[in-house]
Amino acid sequence: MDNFGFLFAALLVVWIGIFVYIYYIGQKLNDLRQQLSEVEIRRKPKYEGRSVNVGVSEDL
Amino acid sequence: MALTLYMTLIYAPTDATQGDVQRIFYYHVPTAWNGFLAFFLVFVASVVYLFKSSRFWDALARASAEVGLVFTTIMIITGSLWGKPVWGTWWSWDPRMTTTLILWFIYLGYLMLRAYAPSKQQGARYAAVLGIVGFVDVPIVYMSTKWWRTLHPQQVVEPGQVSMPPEMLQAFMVSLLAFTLLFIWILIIRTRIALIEDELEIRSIENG
Repeated sequence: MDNFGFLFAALLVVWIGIFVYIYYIGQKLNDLRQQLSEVEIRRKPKYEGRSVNVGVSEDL
Repeated sequence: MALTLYMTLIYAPTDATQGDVQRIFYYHVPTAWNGFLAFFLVFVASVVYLFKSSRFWDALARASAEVGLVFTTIMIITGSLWGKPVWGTWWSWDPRMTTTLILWFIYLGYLMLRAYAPSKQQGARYAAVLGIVGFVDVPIVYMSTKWWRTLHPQQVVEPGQVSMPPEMLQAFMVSLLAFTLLFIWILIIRTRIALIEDELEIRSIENG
């Protein structure tokens, strides 16, 4: 029975499907990590400012 | 994965009646198994979420539903590609295939429910209920070849009963293990994404 084409098509569906999905979630994970680190950076200056002020008032 | 390719395409003997197309079996069944495993995890995580309202279990359920849907989609397409040369048709409305398609729609609906719910918490709660009720279809899909007369063959590997040559069984086991490990790895990444999404939402609410 010559039906190698169907096997080849099935293999393409399996591997391309899985690799495309892995690529998609990999990209999404990187984007989200970047967004999270940007949010962290935006939050930090508030606290740093306060600690500097406290340090200055103590010295005085 | 390289070992899986070698075992399934070279090591395993060619089927005498179906020819090379029978090798689709080594991909079709592991993807089906992992789809069922994913939906079982959705069921467990949904039950725990309804009791504990924990962010982690909700994230796991969400991630598992999506990964399960990807594996089930691949399973349906490979099944169709196997059915055409063997049965002469791409699709048949027999009990196994019909219940599988219903399963696919249940989890597509699950993801849509989450996406379009008025609030994230409401969506999580409704989806948890659907994740529990929807799982009822999984044993129906599994048992469909025993309960009804179907075009789809019976399970060839069951506890205490194996009806295939040892080389084919070894290739199948390697493929099953490889796809299960791949599924776990993908699920870990997808759950991490869901947790970071939640974290970002909390931060954005905090920041106004």
